[in-house]
Amino acid sequence: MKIGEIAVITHNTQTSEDFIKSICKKIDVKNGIVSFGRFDANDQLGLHLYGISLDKEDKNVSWDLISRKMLAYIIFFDWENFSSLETINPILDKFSNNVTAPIIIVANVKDMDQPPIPKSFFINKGIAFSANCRFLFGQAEQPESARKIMVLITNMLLEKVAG
Amino acid sequence: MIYVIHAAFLHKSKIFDPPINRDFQLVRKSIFYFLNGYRGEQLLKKKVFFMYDKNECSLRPAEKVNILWKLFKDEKVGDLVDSFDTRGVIGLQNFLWETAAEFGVICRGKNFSSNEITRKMTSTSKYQEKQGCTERAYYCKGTQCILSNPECARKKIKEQVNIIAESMQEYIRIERNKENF
Repeated sequence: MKIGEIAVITHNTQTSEDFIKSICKKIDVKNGIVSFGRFDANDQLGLHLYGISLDKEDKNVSWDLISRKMLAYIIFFDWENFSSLETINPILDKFSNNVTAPIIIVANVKDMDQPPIPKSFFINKGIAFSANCRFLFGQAEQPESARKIMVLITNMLLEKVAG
Repeated sequence: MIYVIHAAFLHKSKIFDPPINRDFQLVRKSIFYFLNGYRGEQLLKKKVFFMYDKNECSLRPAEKVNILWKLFKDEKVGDLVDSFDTRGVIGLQNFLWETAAEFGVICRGKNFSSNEITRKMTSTSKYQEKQGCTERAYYCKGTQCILSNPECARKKIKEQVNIIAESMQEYIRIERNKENF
């Protein structure tokens, strides 16, 4: 079975767990630092989602080792909470230099029916930051929004192959 | 040693404000032209000192998120020009311009033209006249003059950044009206 691993990095545990539950239905394993969820597409293909919360991050986490193995990164912050953006900034900077896998920065909003800007500006491709980094609005606990993020990751991976 | 003398000379002659961490190859290239008798405007034409490469000025993702935060919260994005270093200022202008073009295409489709943004900006000749600048028009690019005359270039970029941001906010308003319609 082929397994793709995706890191879901958030400013708090709740957001990463909400997102993993939106995709995998349940959290399989949970410890102080990491939440883990599994999505099996069929007996040949699976996705493993690792939720890593930065508020509990062990400063000794070897990002340089972890980052090479991941299929993609989803980094959440709370749009209405500027300090959550400041929490993820160092990790964004670290990844922008070391990571070639797709990075999706998601501004988590309370209601995706009323995002800060019209959906047409970000819903399909996100706002491009670079070839492997996009920004969009999303709602961690909403399955439809989570699916859009997964579709965007797939598209970015396909673009990499095609490019 | 020769690099230091060379840089000091150029600095004194006001044609080169030595930036930090310049590419070593660029310095070598500049020395080559300098030793071969190129001076002043000729050096400018060779673009050995005054042009930053676009990729060189790319902002970090964290900075881009901060810009979008300000933009979508209706704050003045132009004020960021004062807080960025030279590369950051060029990166800010590039990022906003690219994103505005993307927004424009989504909003207007095939009818989008970058002219609808640039026509709101002060023309180069008018800007130069206002500043009492006698340089040729093509020097008046934020990305070129930012090193030789940073104050003037920053002022110009700030004005342009505010206009680009206003255009983006206009696209957002138009698109929101479409969604509500």
